[in-house]
Formats: sequence, C-alpha cells, structure tokens
Amino acid sequence: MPLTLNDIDLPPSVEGKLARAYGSKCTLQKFLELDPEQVGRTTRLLPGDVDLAFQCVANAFYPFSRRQTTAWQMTENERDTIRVFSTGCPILDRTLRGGIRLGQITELYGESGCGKTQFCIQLSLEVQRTFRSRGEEAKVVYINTESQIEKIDKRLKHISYYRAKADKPFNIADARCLQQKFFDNIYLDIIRHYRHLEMTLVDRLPLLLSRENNIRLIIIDSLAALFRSEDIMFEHHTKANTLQYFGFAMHTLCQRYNLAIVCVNQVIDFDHFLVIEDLLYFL
Amino acid sequence: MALTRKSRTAMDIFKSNVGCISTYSKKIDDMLDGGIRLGVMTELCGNPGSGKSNLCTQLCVSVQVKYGINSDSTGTAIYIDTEGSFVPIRLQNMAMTADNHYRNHNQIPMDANSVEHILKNVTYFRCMNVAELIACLIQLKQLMTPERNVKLIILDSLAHPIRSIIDGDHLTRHKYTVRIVTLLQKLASEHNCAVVVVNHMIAKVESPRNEAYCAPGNFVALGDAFGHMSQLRIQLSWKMNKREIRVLKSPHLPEMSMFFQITDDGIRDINEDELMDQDECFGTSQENLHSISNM
Repeated sequence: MPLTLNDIDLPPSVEGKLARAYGSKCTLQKFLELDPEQVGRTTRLLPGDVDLAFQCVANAFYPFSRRQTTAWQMTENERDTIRVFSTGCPILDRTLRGGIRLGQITELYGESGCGKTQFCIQLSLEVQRTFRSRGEEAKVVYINTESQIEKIDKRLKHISYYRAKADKPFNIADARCLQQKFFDNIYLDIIRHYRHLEMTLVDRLPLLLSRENNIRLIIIDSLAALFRSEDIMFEHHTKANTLQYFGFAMHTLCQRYNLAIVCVNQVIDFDHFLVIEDLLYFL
Repeated sequence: MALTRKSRTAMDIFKSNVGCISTYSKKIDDMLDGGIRLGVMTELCGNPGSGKSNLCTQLCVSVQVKYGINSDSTGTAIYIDTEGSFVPIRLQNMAMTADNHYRNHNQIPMDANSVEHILKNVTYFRCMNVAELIACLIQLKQLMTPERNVKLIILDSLAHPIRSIIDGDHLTRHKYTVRIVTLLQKLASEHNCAVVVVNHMIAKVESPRNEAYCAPGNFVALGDAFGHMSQLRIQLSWKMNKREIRVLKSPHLPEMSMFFQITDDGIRDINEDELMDQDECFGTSQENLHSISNM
C-alpha cells in the first residue's frame, strides 16, 4: 500500500494547508514529483515550510536508515548470501567471475541454432543446484515464446536426469526423486504476444513473487521473437517505447525480489542498408 | 548557512586553485586539465558497454587515495545507482590495486584495513524511479558534514529513470530533469564537491517509414535542455577496437580525444607499442599507472 500524506508527521498548520490543497490521500510519490515553487503558490506556505514538508515526505518515502549502505557492507553481503550462481561450465564461470549475478539483467544473443535455448535450460537447473548446495531452495520462471513445449520438456528431462545423477544419489529412485524436484521448481509459461508479456511483467509476476519468495531466476526465451512476428507491423517508436517499458519493469523486478533475469535475443543479417539491430539496446 | 556574499574578482577565483579528481590515466587527466573538477557538474555519455560505470567506480577510488593537483586532501564518495550497474567486487579490485600502488610509491607499510576503509567511504544508494531519486537528493544534505567530507557524487544514470516515465511527454521529462539537476548543482556549489552524471545515447530515426536508416548512438539523450546544464561533457565510445574518450563540450578545454583501456585494475593509459599484443595487458598494467606524486 503506497504511503499517503496522512501517514507522515508534519506541524499541524503545514499539514492542514497541504491536506486542503492536495487531499490527505495524495500519495507521497506524487507529492515528491511536484515543483516546490508551485506547491508554495498553491498552498501559500512559506518557503521554509515547503522545504520542511519536502524533507519530511522524502524521509518517509525513502528512509536513509534503511536504504543507505556502504560498498563495504555490500562486499560483506556478497560473502554471506549467494549473489552469483554457476552456469554449469567452469570455463564460462571463470570468464563471468562466478556466473550469472542476481539483481542484474543478462542478455544472451546469437544466431539461430547456436544453443541459446539449451543454455537457458541448463541455467534453470544449475541455479537450483547452486542454491541446494548451500541449503536453500531456488525456483525458476521460464517464459517461452517460440519453440513448442515438447522439445523443451524432453531436453529438460535429459539434462535434469544426468545432473541428478551427478549429485551422487543413493539409487535410481533417489535420482528420479531429485529429477522430479528439479522439475517441480520450474514454472513454465508460453507467451506469444508482447502485450501478454507486458501484463506478465507488471501484474502476474509480482503476484507470483509475493506468494513464492524462492524464485531466483526468470528466463525470457526469447524476447526478440515477440517483436519479429510476421502479422504485426511495428512502428519504430512503438517498439522502442515497449522495450523501454519492459526494461524498466525487469529492472524493478530484479532489484525488488533479488533475482536474475536472462533475456534471449537474436541477431539479424548485416545488409548494405541495415545496421545490426540490438533490440535490447534501449534497456 | 551564511547568506551574505561578497563579490569576488576573477583574480580571486584564479588563485583559489580548484581541486580535481584524477582518473588514473595520465593522458585523460592531461586532456581534462587535471581531471574531474570539484564544484561543477560533469556529464559522461556513451553507448552501452563503453565504460561509463567503470570510470565512475574508478573515480570513487581515486577521490580517496589521493586527489587534487593543488590540494593534499582526500574525500569520500556517494554513488547513486539507478540501473544496478555498480558491482562492489569491481570497486574492491580497483581499491586494492590503487592502495598497493600508493603504498609502494610512498613507502608506507601495509595496513590490512585500508581497503576496508576505502570501501566504507563509498556510500551507496539505489533508486528505482524519479520520485525515489528526488527523495534521495533532498535528504543528501544531511550527509554533507565536514567529518564525512564528501567530495564526489555520482549519479549513474540520470537517463534511465527519466526515460522510463511512460505517461508523460517531453515536457514532463524536462521538468523532472530540471528539478534533479538543480538539486545536484546546489549540492555541488555549496559543498564544493564534484558531481558526475551519466547519460545515455539514443538513436534518432530519420523518418517514421525508413526504419532501415536508424543509426544507434548518434545523439545524446535527455535533449538540449539538459545539454546546457553540465559544465563538461565527455563521451566514451569504441573506435576501431580501442576505447576512446572525447571532450564534447567545455568552456576551456579543446575538443580532443584520447584512447584508454580498462584493465583488471581500472582505467589505464594505452601504450602505443603494445597495441599489437593483447596478452601483455595484464602484465604491464603496473607500468601504465602514472606516478601519483606528480599530481
């Protein structure tokens, strides 16, 4: 529930004038976005009082005691909690200094058939293994936009079986159990239209994330396919705006729920007049 | 706060040597006539992946190890992050190298806590949208105490939250840009600290129909209104497999450009003869550090 002017403490005269001008249900976010001189004119407050009002609102909206941290605390945090998870390949891990980081958006791009989906499937298993080895649980949301579900399902079965065996289970039943657990932790969804993805990022995923607080990875495979369908003509600025919105929504998700997002992109041909279009450029 | 101001002559200002923050690359410092100046706002723009956040992290280190051609003091830094591109491990690596270099040069014995000290002096804020950014800047005043001695405020980046405003036209964005920049400029001039703002580059399409003629990275984001507000505009880019830094707008510096590289240890100069052999980069990074005592 967003905070409103009702929820902060101000001197009574200031509070009265603000409530009369903007209503006591005005959210703090809206109030912060107003111009101080405009506020002074509308409420006929002295500049010192306007300053005080803004200070109090800012303090309630973004409390320094909770949000301020130092780089030292962040490095300590890196050691105590898991901030990166392995990709399953030691050479890649060394190049990426540990693996894929939580709280960041990672972009994966390449030609068709070079292994992007395979890599994503492997990541969705590896994140669970990394967290399991530390005693925590990790769930994955896999948003699929292009291939059929059976191919991914079959490949997932293969890889998870071999991964489960690599964890040295007691017997075959245990391996199957582990494999099933890997499966159960992956939420799969099929999205074919970019508006559905918008809805997912803004409404459905926050709902899911508030219920399940163990989700650590969201894979969007692939983002480019939504914008390259044959039957929808995209204006350049619509595409740019939508991508910008996606980027913003993804950043908010990453940061608020402490997870990693992996997006898959495609490349297009280098022609005389075409420039390589990096779709996630606007992120 | 003293509100009376007596007039100052240009000679007073000329004599009152303004401190600068080094970027750890001698050629860049020479191009910028000392480095990033205190008391004014500097703008850093560039395409994604050109090294802006790395340069900001390097400045966080160099403001503490030693800064200033004419002054001997150090200061702390405040890093306001809006896109999540600050990685503390990178800061730790840069801090360790800078600290080692400083101690080797000045023959000071090793101190186990010095890197911890450097990291503790960088205050970090994460802001998700414009309202949080404004709230953070309004309250930043209470951190600018003499004990804390904040000399550098980095906003990385300004373009991201402004461009994420969906339900607004360019006038709304302009309003927010002006609000944020005036808050920052007030902090910079009142407390004599350097403010670095990171900006994006955008693509401008020629006409709505000729989508093919879109060349990314030609124009600086946030419009001309913001372009007037910064004192110094620096652009980072890639030119022929080398990283280039170029001064775009400055009242007194010529429009030069310089090549640099980003190594494990941070921002360093490129030696012309070792451009052929990329493997040497890590081994010779120590030689590329310019001696700090010259500052």
